[in-house]
Amino acid sequence: MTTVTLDTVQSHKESFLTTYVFSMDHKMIGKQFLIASFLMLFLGGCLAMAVRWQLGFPDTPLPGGTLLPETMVDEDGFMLPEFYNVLFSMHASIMIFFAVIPLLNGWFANFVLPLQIGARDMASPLLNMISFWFYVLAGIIVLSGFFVEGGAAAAGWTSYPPLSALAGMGQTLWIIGVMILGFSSIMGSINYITTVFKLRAPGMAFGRMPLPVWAIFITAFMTLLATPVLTTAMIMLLLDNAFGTSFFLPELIVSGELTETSGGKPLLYQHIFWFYSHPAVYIMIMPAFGVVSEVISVFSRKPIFGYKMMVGSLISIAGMSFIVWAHHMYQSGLNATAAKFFMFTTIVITIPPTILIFNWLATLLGGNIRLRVPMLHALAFLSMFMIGGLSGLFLASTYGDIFFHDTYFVVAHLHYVLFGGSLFGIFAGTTYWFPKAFGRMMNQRLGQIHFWLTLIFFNLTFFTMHFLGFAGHMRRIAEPMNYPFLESTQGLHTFITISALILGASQLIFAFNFIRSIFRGKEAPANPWDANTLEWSVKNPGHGNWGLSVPIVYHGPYEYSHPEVLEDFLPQNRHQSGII
Amino acid sequence: MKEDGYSGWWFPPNISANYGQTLDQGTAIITWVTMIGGIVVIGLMLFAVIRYRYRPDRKALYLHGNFKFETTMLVLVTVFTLGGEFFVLGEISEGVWDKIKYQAPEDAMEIEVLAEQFAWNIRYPGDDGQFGETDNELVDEENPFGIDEDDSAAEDDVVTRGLIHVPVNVPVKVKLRSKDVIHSFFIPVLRIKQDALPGETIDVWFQAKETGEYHLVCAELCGLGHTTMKAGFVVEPLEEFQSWLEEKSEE
Repeated sequence: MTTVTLDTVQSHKESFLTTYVFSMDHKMIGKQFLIASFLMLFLGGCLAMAVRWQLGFPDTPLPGGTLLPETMVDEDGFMLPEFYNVLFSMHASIMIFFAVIPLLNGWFANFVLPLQIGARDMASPLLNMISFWFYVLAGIIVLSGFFVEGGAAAAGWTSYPPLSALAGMGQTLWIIGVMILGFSSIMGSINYITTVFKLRAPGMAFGRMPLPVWAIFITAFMTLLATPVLTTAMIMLLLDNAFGTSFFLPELIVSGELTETSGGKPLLYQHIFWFYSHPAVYIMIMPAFGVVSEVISVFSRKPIFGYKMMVGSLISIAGMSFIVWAHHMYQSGLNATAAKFFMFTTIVITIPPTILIFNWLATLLGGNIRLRVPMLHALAFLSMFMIGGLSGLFLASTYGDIFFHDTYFVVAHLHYVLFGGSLFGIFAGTTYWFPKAFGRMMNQRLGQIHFWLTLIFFNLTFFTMHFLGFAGHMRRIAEPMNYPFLESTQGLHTFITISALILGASQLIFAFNFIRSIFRGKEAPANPWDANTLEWSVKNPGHGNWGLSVPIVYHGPYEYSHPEVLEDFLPQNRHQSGII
Repeated sequence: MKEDGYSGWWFPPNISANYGQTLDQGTAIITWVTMIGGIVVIGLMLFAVIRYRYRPDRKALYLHGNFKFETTMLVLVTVFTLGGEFFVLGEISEGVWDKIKYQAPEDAMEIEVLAEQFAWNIRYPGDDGQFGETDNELVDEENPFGIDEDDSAAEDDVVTRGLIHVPVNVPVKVKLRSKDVIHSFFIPVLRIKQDALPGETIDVWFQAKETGEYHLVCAELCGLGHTTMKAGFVVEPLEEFQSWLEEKSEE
């Protein structure tokens, strides 16, 4: 064990630039990820509102539409179909790559992981800083697509060739941006893995690690193994798009002209892309599994039920996530026998998440449940993720998928998992760790209002979309009223749009509460939730986290309501004879 | 005459004579299973939250788990998931997936569907039942398939744009192709969907049991005109179909 003295910890002076901009402190980098990703979340949300406006009120010009350039709207402010394609493509890309993944794997991982294992910082603070700035660079490149000729990427977040390979500058920038973001993820994941292996505080055995650490640690392995595959796909797509190769392109006839491409396979891209993107689906939610486990245990005042089973489930999800990718491709022209194999693996991968859900329920039963704001979000996560998982069954069956594939049913399903799951998990964790990150409490009343509005209007918006799916309503079409069999869905669309607008507006309450609490919130005690994990033992979050020496860990993180302890919690660094 | 209208909370009309009914039954079973599963879990959660709400004078149960209970749970979940889902997805469907993807009847009527940005081209082989040779070099506005006029089999080929007619109660096999990007062949009333890949020919088959005017749409994002890419899909008695085809071949 190396002891770092107070002197070395506080020896170097920090300027404004090194404290807030090019910081190498893991807490500051975590907060940078938080703020940057929230800005992206806001932008992605605005794009979604525009998409919904087009579908809900196709006969009314986009509000403020006349201010947009003529590549996006016509002279009366009505949206052009090509801009609609840009909107949903960029909405999904921003939400997935620049909001959900960095919030879970940038904000939580950076802020929480070192604090919970009793480390003074990440194994490589420099790599950590570079990782954040690669994320910023990637974001700037992808967003700059809005300002080039032809507009930003419009081939969906999956960007299937030949469509993406034939597209213009905006798409090229998208490919480069996603590639650079991949580097950021890889750097981050190496750092998280090394930190967990090397920098745990004395006594912090693997079996005593809090579940958020486990979840981030396991996710980092998925990121490390899967992201290089995505990078490969992006390099090949970039060559096809900008340098005339044909990895994914056979001979084509595009607007009457024979292309010079030959010999490529469009399906190859889908295999490579989903080989990354199915593990990525779990990269987008697994840290939230950990966060929610922590929050449920803390606010139930009860040990998490089946700790080892939880860790085992997370590991098996991570392992199996690499052999289910082609269930996104049942109707793609994939060999039908191969599809049966992927249906089998997809059925098997439902088992560990079911175990997680049962363990969360078992943790709640017999608890002493405090419904504070983080807990409300965690419970919403549990129930909404459950619905999202169940609706996945319709799509997991090879033949159920025939009808529902590429309809609004998929849109409903993925929003239940990514919004109902990941985003509620992000709200749970952000409201939970806010006091540690900013030293102040968030306003509880505003938090409750935001939670209930979000829960209600989220369901009104997205549950309704299942019925559009049943109607056979295709995704990604700007003018459903072009189709006689969809004409009577206009009422439903208008209803969804109104719900979505209220859902969007409700997020402003969160934004207001968040910003106001940073400056004006009630001062937070060191351990506001009476929790056990090490981050709450940091009194004065400065450089290096703990003063003289890092804490010593005496027992596991979930010793709540122990009969031999007076209080209903027992911090990991507090020694109590007989409890290990 | 039937149409493919929106029916409210459930599927549009189902005119499939072969596997479409099985698909809807399978979906109905999955719907019941998932609804019950969802209600039980969310109900249990709400019960726990209300029954075990915070009281300052009470301490929660100190329980880290129970090896026997957890193992039993794991076994039960595994058996239920694998058994239940294989029953629903495997047995009930009686290999419906294979039927859809592989087992087109020998005597099916063949047509060719060629997707392009943003239209559906359809080719009927005509009386000889043979498609004429095609060549990508010959493709132009007038000849979307690039049919080689020198080939004798090509003489009676009939090409339409944006309109498919098929006879009722006759199995139809579609040879699906694409010129440019990926499209997806989707006829909601037949519960059929298959992506069209450039450079590949993929077989799709169906059999319609009710006459009417329906639609074929594109379900895969294919570019800026994706939102307009549809074709009329008309199911009619065999005689009417034949006279329509004759009429078309004279044009």
